[in-house]
Amino acid sequence: MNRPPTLGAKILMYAVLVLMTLFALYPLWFAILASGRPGDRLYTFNLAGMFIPTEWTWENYRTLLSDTVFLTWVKNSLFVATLTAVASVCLGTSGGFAFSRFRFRGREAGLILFLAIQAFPGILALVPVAQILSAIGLYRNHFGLIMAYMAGQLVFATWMLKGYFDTIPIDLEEAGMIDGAGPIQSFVHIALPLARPMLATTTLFGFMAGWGEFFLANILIPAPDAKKTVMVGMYQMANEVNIPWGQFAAGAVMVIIPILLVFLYVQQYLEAGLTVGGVKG
Amino acid sequence: MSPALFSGEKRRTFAVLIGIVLIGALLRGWAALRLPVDFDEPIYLRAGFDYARALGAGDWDGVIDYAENREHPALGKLLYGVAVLVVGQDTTWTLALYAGRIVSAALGTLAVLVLALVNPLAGGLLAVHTLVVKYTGQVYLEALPHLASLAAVLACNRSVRARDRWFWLSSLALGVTAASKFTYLPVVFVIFYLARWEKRFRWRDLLIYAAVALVAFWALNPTLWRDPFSRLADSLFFHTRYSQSAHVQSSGYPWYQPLYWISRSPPSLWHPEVFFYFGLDGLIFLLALVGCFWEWRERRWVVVWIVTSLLFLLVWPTKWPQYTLVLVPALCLAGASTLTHSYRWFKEQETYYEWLRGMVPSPPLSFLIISGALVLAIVVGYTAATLQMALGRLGWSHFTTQSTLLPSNTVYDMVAGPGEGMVLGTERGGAIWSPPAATDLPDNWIVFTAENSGLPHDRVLAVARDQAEHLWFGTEAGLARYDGAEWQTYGMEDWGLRRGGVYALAVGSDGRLWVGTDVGAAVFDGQTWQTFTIATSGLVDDWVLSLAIAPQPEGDWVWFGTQAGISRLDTVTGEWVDFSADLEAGVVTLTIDASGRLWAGTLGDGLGLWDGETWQFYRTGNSDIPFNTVNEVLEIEPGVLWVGTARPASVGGVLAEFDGKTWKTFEPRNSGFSGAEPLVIVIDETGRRWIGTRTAGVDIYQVKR
Repeated sequence: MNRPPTLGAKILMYAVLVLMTLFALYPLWFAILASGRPGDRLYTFNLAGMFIPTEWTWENYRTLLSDTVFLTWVKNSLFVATLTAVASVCLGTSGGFAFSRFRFRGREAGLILFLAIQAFPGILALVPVAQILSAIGLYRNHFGLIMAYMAGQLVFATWMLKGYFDTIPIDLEEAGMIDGAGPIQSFVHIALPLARPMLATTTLFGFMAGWGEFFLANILIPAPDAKKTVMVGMYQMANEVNIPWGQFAAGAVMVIIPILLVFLYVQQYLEAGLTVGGVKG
Repeated sequence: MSPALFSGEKRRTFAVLIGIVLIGALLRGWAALRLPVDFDEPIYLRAGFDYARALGAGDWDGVIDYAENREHPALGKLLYGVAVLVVGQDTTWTLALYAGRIVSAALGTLAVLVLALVNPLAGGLLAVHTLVVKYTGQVYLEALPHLASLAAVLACNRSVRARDRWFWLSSLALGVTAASKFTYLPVVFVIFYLARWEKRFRWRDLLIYAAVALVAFWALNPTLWRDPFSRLADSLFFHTRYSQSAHVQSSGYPWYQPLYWISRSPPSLWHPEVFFYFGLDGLIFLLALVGCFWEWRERRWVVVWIVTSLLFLLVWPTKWPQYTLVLVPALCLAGASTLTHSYRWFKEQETYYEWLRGMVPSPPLSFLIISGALVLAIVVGYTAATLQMALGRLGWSHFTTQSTLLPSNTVYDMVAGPGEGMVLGTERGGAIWSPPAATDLPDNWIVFTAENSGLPHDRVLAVARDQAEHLWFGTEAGLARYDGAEWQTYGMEDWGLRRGGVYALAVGSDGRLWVGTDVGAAVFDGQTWQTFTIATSGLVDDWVLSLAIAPQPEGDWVWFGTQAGISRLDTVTGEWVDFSADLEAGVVTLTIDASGRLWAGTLGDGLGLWDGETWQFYRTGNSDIPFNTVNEVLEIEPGVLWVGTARPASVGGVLAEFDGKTWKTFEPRNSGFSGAEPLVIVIDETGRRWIGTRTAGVDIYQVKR
């Protein structure tokens, strides 16, 4: 039988939790403070200024938006991330449904192959991916980058969705088929609506994969500036001789917002999707 | 208007129209304020200035016989002339550019409205089409014929019978199109198809239509008021010749290049800082290709428009991107058709299955609030910044090797005069600039190089004018004097130093010329030279980068800025004072202000101020000076300095104004300053401030009146 914690233990527990929360949130708070600090400075000699906004300017945001191609980078990232998410969900859904519902030759081998592909370090695939994209004329092209992302994201989406479809009783689809629905109709009108939580989860992961990825984007779209994604653009900004720290921090704050919006949009399905999918093979 | 007459569907339609027009206007205004000056804009703006001068003087002969750029009809340029007249003929180039662009943007927005009245969705597509936004946001000749050709086709389509008001409007609009730009005339085929096959107009009516259009074309094109046939033939043949010219051939565009222009959003690549939003040009093109299927059954004239314009674009050898604007309205109409049919199909499916309603989550309120706040913040912030930049650019103009006869974009030194002119020392020779005698005449340049003058070397690092109005050019390999006719050259053999590179020149109040070199300093009284080095004088270093003369009641003090500090010579007593202990970097510029204080610009140690007793330094650590490398300081009015600073480890610089307390910076984001590294600042006789730069020629600021 568990004893209730003592007051001292509770205080200690909450102190640790508060400290860990502050530890986790301070980098974000630091970026927000730096984004409003005048003079392109990352730090301030004012100790209080490291924790609370003792001075504030919107100049960094204004400069970032009007003097750089930051919004173009954001646009490119939005394009890449959205298409990656949509395409991986569309293909992953049909793949996952097929692996879950149909029994065909090579099904087990296919699933194992997918796992093996997932385990393969993406960085090792970089050279062949770049060569293939060069050969088909998609190097330095957003669609090439989306294809590269999808190669990794599709495996994850297929496995997650396959696991989720396994949890949906096949009886529902069979009942629909008795009423005259074919396999495609039962997939579209019965299975898909029931898989909404996992669709939301894979969409969010697909979007995040396309939005925050740096390595492939840096290699596959090295130039021009107008084609870079936001992470590559920000990295380039941080590698200038005179680093505009204030603008960099403002950019870091702004790149959070799209992810936040996607999260808000799909959050009503997220909990179910995260807890149910993928636990049943 | 009573609420009963203006409610329900009409109100919604009105709101949609307003929204579309606002988007079109905002994007075009945005482009007009932010786009850099494009290839042909100076040509059309110059024509606008010239037309404005002729119109302002009532000189109709000047309008009719204007010889420049006659290959294009006059109407568009006349409109820019009117814009110049409105803002004043003595306006700055920048303000006239903005005025012209606003005219262009207004016409472009009007085209959006006209198309939106017929088909709101097509109007919306036209509003965001990046090629159209770009070329109707600049001083190009596209905006007016784009609007007029669209109006001509749509009015003809609206015409119910021959000689109704739409018939006349269409013919007049076609005349305006022809009087604006010939490349929009492929719409004649569309109009002919509409009138003859769909409206069944008789041949006699078509002839009347053509006659009205021709009269309008002639009446609105003053160039043709005299000797019309010959001038029209010249104009048309020019285009045929031009299409085969080396200029066109050198662009290397294949025959299918127009397909590239319209299937991508090239302005997004050319100007990512302006076209940051999703360029839908490619999508519109694809939608239009699909839409041709429906248009062939419902509005065949749209397909005729697409096919004839596309054929013209593919066949015509000149492939400039702006030519595709003749096709874009038709693409928007066909694209809108695809969207409409697709929407209807999806709506039918959704009504039956209600699949999307179940699948797509409704966004929560927090999502809507954050999205709205983000969009609002971006639009407000971006618009404010754009307006600030546009206003900051007023009064600025530029001399570069591309736009003038300036010998090099690296300008080391300048001296004002004679008159309103300027003498410049550049990487590729010296130059004397004087303003044009009239606005329609070019400005005057005399360029001196080692080949055509007595300059010992092309690299002119310093210039000065002595009391006898002789010009002195200090070069990499010696000194040259120019009296307006003859050259006299001086070298190391004259002043007795080891090398002849001249870095600084200054004329004393006694008329003597002081020379700073990399091996010491020298002074010349017109007859003899006297030299100063570490070994023979109190000079702290032999590399003399800058000089300043401080007249005193008895005689001059001469300040020497060197690589290792500052020395001061009292020319009366011969006494030297050493200031090297207070300075840790080379001193590249010295200025005595109205209060007699000395300002010293250093290579990395900020801006120093000597008030006669102590040094005070303005550095990035203790002030808002942009950078610690200070190439130039000039007191533009008592107590106010302009300071040219350089980025320490990269290209470019920032110009700053310092009034003793606050620093204000001039950068490309808030002014017309080019952002290049400033090397020299001079005020001319008219009060204009000239900033010679390392990589961008000369930036000129006319103080706002």
